[in-house]
Amino acid sequence: MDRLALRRFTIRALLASKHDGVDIDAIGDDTQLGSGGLAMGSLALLQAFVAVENKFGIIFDDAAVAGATFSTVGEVVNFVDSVIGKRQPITGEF
Amino acid sequence: MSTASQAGITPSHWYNIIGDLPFELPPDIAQDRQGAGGTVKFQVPLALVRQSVGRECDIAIPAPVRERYNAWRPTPLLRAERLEQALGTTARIYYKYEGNNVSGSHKLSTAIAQSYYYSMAGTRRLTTGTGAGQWGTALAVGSRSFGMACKVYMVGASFRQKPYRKTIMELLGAEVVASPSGDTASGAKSLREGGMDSGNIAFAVTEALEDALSTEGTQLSVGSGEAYSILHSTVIGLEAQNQLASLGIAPDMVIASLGAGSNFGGIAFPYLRDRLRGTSNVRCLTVEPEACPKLTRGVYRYDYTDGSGITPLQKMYTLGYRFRTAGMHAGGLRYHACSKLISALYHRGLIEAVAYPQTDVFASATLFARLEGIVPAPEAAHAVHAAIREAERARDAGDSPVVLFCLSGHGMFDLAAYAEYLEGRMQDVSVTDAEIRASLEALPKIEEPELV
Repeated sequence: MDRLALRRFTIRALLASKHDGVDIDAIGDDTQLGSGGLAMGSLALLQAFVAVENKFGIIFDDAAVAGATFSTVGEVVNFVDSVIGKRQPITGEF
Repeated sequence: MSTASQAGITPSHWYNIIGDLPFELPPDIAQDRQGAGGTVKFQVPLALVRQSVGRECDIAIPAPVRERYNAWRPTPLLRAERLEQALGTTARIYYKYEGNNVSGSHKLSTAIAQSYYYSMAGTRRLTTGTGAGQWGTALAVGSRSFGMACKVYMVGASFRQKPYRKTIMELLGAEVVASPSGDTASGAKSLREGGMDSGNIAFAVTEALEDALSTEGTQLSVGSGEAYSILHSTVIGLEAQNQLASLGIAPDMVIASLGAGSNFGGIAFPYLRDRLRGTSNVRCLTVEPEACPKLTRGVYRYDYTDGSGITPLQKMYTLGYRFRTAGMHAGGLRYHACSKLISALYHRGLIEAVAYPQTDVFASATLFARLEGIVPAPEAAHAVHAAIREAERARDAGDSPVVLFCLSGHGMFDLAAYAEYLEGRMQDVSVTDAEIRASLEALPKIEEPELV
């Protein structure tokens, strides 16, 4: 599994609800999801999870997602990576 | 009334209209959430978000939800024969009655489904805000059905005007407080400062959210305007299709009142499926109050989904998130906007809209109650009135269409409104163009994203 590709797609999914043009290369693992960072609401984050599901053909466990809290981009990427990890190679455009 | 059909079984799937749309919905736009803190806590189960964005048309109804549906579904499909005779119409009028459950309205179908998904995500307690009380009552039933506690923040004015709504929610196991309440920091602050004793739905939801964010195992359920709420409500239209088909009938027109959208979408979307797939020319008509004419006089713009001004923006027909509907009795139709799904359908001419004043609506509801034996909720009464108007038009034109409408709830908690009407004290509530323009001035000014 190419973690960099996974990370890039996850960040694109996180940015999908922000149409005002955020530079993906300026996003680091320590970028905050809430205030002081991407200023995301919980619904936008959930929509990003659904986009990841659709991309990689997986279903996150609802209770695992609901029970988690996320503060940074890196925490989201780690969560996604822990679920789909070595499940399949990532191909295509990200 | 005569029972046309109680035949059939509860459908096995809900219908997701997104899969049949020949266009892309405008995307939601997230708003900067200053001061929201760095950690994001989820309020909606992932399963409900999947249902809001997916393009699969048929979504299986989970077995535990179907089991609970079977307690009152399929709901009866009735023919209003006495009403037809009284009007001297050549139209045939059928209605789907959704008031035959303990909550008294159509909202129980999504409250049960939402409660199931919240419980599966580990939620132990739900909070919500309610205006007239229908949603709070439905969620009280739903949360108890799946072993969760429920706290309802009820708009203060309604709390005092409709004491039996509070009683039935408590009877069904929910905790109910008037909003503003002393139970949250925002409510206590509002009570100290004064000036907002009557409350409003946006503030009630704000209190419910504060409660959810600060209480372990608790989440906020927001009600009936979301795409997943409409999805769950399509069980109404799917049942009606089966019931009418068993009689060899297909409606020429489907009518429902419009609040946020779950009632209208619930009965109309399965019929719109046939229209989108080119197998039907059925007309679908939304009915709104003249006091809150979002489709007939609003604009198709990005706006906040409630009065708080902090939600993601959705492209909807709206009167502006700061629009305050003057006093009228159909509390469930006061929402300033309507679902982005229904807005997009209206924008493309796939559905129609009409607005009526409340005294005309109550006149029709009273006629209906006397002839058919069911007291319509004020919201449902809008559909009754529109059906009568269509039947009168058919009579005058010599046509004989089949009209189907959704009688979305009973009005046994709304007798104060009927007393006002019967005693001649009811006033029509109008809104001027200047008032709408002033409200629209507050719309967020954004550059709309281009669709690809």
